Formats: sequence, structure tokens, C-alpha cells
Amino acid sequence: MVMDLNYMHGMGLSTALLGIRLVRPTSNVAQTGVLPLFNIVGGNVRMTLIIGHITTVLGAVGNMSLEDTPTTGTMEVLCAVVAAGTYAQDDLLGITGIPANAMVPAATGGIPGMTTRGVNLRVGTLNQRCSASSTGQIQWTVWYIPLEVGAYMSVA
Amino acid sequence: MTTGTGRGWVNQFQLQTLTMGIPLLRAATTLPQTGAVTIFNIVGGRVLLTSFIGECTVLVGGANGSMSFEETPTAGTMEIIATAVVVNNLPAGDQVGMTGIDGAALVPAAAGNTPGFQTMGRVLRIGTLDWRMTGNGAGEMSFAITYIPLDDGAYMTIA
Repeated sequence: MVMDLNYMHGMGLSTALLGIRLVRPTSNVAQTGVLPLFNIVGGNVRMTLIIGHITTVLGAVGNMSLEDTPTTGTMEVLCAVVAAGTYAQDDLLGITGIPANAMVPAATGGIPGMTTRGVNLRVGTLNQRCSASSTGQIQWTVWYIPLEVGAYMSVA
Repeated sequence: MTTGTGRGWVNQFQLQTLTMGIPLLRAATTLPQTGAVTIFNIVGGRVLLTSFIGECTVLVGGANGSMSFEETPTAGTMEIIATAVVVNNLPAGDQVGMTGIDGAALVPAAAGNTPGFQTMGRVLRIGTLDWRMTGNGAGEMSFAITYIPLDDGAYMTIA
């Protein structure tokens, strides 16, 4: 008898280890300000991974960062800014999970997973901020784990 | 219980899959000769590489130079996921790995064993995971990795 030693496969495994996946369709980047990417609804969640896939090369959008903007409480910058005009199409964007660390990668290329065990997000929005206005599109995907009964994320 | 096998409610391979992802083992081959060799393919979508062990099975020569590993996507910019470390005379039985942190060197710095990632993994795009050496010489290494599919239909294969 041959045993199936890998009883959990593919996307089930992704859900078990990283949480629920949420895909945001590709869209223009924020224009000199913030753009809500995702909503956090019903309670706190822990974001375990975020990937920004550059689908159209960014123009002079200046510095980019991500923010946890709760409906109640103080806004938290999830990463320090990075100069975003250097990336190539199909490069990825991510964060380390440590707020003082800049968005990764520093210039071009791929990304690591977080160095923390995720980032807690409060009820509100996860926003992208750019310091200038220009062309460029990014497709964002997040994985998260609800921390409270009824908590979930949705595409903004 | 003295054997350390636990109570057996999840067997060892299920436990590995459940905690680290899908294992993939690449048999020992000779080292790249002044260039890069593809060791794994990423197919159908992105994956999260959650562990990486390269085990030296045949003593590395004295002029093989530095070893590094690269994510080479079919679209987008190549990323060095473990920067170069000199591995001349690395003995059989020693292991190499990576921290997962951007810009960090291959570990260990000289000889010995490797820790697990200091991140939750490395995101790999569709393309290849490549093994690079700066010199020529003898030596063989096998690889054991684990990964999690991030997109529908994504998987890795041995190159």
C-alpha cells in the first residue's frame, strides 16, 4: 500500500500556513496621497504576506509606503518609504513587517516573506501612499488570518 | 515515551508538509562550473520558499570559489536570494542555506550547518531557482527544499 504522505495540497496548504488569500485587481497607483487597497472589517486581522506585482512600470510616483489606517486610533506606517520609480515590470513589492524598515526590495527584483510573524491590522483600511503623481499599475495580493470572530478583509 | 516519536497523531511527513509546505528533493549533482545551473523550476504561479538546505555530498575542490543562489523569473528582474560565500574545501556532510533576508549572504559563513530562514520565506516568481559558482572544480551537492503555492496551479519541479 502506498501512503499519501502529503495529505494537504496546494492552495489548502497556503490557507493553512498563511491564511485567507485576497486578490485585488490591478489598478493605478496612488496619486500624491493615499489609495485604500483593502478594508479590514468586523475586527482585527493578522496580515501574513502582501505582494505588490508591478504590472505597468511606474513613472515618477516618488516615495511609496503602506499604512494601517484604523477607523479609531492612530495611523500606523507599516513600512518606511522607498523610491518607487526604479522598479521594472513584473518586479514584486513587499514589507518586512517591521515598521521602520523600508518597503522591499530596495531597487528591483523579488521579495522575502516578512521577518515578523505578520502585521496586525485594525478595523479600517490598508492604504498605499505615493508622494507624487504619475503612471503605473500594481496588482496587490494579501494573505491574512482573522483574529476576532467575524473579522475579514475585502478589496477597497 | 523515550524514542521521541511523539504520540503519532500526525506522522512526520504530514507534519513537515503542514508546518513547512511541500518537500522537494534534488539528488546530488556536480557543482556548476564558472556559471549558473538551474536546480528547480517554478511553474504556473508564485510560490513561497519556506526552507532550503544544500548538502555537500562530495568534498568541494580548492578553487571552486564562491557560491550563490538566484531567483531568475521569466518576466521581471533577477534577484540574488543568497549572496556569494567562498566554499572552497567544503567537506562532505556540511550544509548550506539562506536567511531569506534581502542581500544576506549564504550561510554558514565558512563550514558547518545552516539555520532556518529568518523570514517567513522567499517569494519566487515563475522561472527558475539557479545555483551559481565563480570557479571550477570537483564537488557535489544535493538539495532539499519546502514551498507553499501562492497562486492557483503554482508548483515547483526539479530541474
